[in-house]
Amino acid sequence: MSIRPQHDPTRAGLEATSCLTALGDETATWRALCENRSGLKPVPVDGQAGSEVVPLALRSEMQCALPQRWREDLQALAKGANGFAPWGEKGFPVIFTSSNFSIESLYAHNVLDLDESHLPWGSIPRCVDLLRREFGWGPDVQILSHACVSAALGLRLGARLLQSDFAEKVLVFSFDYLSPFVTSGFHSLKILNPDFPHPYQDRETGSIGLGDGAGFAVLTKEPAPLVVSRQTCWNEMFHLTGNEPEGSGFHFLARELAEGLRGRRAWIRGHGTGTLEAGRLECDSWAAALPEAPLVAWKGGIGHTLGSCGVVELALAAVSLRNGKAPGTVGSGPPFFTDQVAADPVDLNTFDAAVLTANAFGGAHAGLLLAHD
Amino acid sequence: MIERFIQKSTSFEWPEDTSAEVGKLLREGLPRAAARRMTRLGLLCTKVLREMPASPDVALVYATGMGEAQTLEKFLASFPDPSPTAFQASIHPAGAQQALIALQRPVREFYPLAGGEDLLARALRTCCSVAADEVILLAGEERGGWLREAGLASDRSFAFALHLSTKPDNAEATLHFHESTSGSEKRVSVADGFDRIAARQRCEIPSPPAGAWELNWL
Repeated sequence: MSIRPQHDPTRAGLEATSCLTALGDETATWRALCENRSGLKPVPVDGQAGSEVVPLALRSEMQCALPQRWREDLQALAKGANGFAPWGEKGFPVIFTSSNFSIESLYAHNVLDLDESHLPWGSIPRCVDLLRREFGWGPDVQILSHACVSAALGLRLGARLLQSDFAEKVLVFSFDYLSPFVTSGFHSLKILNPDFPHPYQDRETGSIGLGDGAGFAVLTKEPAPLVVSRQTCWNEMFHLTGNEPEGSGFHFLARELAEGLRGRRAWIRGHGTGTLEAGRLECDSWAAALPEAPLVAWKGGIGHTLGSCGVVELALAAVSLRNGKAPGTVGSGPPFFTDQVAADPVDLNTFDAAVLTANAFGGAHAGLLLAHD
Repeated sequence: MIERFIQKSTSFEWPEDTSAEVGKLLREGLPRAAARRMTRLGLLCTKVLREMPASPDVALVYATGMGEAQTLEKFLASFPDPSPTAFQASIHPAGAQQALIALQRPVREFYPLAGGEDLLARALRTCCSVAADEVILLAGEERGGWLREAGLASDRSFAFALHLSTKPDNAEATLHFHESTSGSEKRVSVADGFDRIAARQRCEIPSPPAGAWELNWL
């Protein structure tokens, strides 16, 4: 049975999903998170000894070299995805999402004064075109970049391409690996500091940890083991980085997703980076919309994988559904902003659906429901 | 057949020889503090978006190849003391976001795209995929400095906006998707699209691996 557009304009089958984080692939990462292990470590913010250390979850040492430290990881993921369809050919588009792509290449050339071979990678379209050729994909590759909701929004666009009959299957491919360009930028905003993140904890100062992440999701019109639905988004457009003070975007998202459950019992995997203002607003919105649902966040374990987090954490949620257990709010503990935050892993046997959300600079919000078909 | 009706189009190019005057003109009417920090692309996006429908339920598709090229150069130049202002404004899709913030326009569906020679074709497909009946395509580029010299950024600063609708009433132009092209495979970049739209010229935009978009003015 195909997905019926009139039922939910953002519904799609999730045929496969996979990810890589500092803790390993989706299975290894899920296991580590269930054991409350974190991949975050104190690392000099720009990779140079003597610089202030900040919490980063890296898959390898943060270097600006060619080939890039993420190339082999992406090749492995692409190889895994290539079994599902002739990607990039007619009816099988790829949505390539990231916040930073290979921006470290510009840093390498312009700040570190490395040679010109880095330069082509610094262009988003050229970077993606080089990668698609390397992966053997056809020309139908679309690039979407919306900071930390990039992958989440890619999933929504993927479902829309399916329902508009532009595609039979869609590959949403995402990566964001840290570089001094990115870490120094967040450090300049002072939200990345020496403190380790404690998502949803009510404390004096907020902090985040950043992490490497990559992953993919295969969306299909056909029946699939899991289904993504009710993909919701909202953009406050209040400030370039800050949220609207009343949390209108958080509340909008929580209300829409809660309504989409139609009585199903859900658990929530929130965005939960560790910043205080956004964490409090996020908790408040769930307390109002879905107060019985346990709320967990995983960025205290894998770091905030930025533009890739929507796909990376989708893969982890899929493993959680398969195994009947979701990791708790890793790296954090009480006092939490609200009682529904779960520090420990959650037994999923009495739940029907997962609510997954992502937030970004500019008050951008995206979320979806994930459930067995 | 996939078909949309263009209800309104706006376009503006920033002439290089009158940079200061144009900047002053485009900042008029904007909150002073915000306007001072806006990028060239942000100002251009604001200019062309002003006349477009302002409703959260109108979707927005934003297309830019390299975005805030000048701000990106400024951020890189700020090392070893990276500038938080330049960092914020260099993040894709800052151009559209600055405009929407300046105009105080929250939006539900917002798809910021990047890309190369097929970006315009992908953006049009996205416009015809959104859940909303009404959509604005906002596109533009910012002239770069050393990034332009390296072939990584635009050599022009411009923006355009199209209001696309499923309704034909009062349309200025039509947009169709054909499974086959008329033979020309020459790609139509965002800059090429800007020129055709500013001149209200017919345009066929190949969409590899199959098909083409056809824009006809009424």
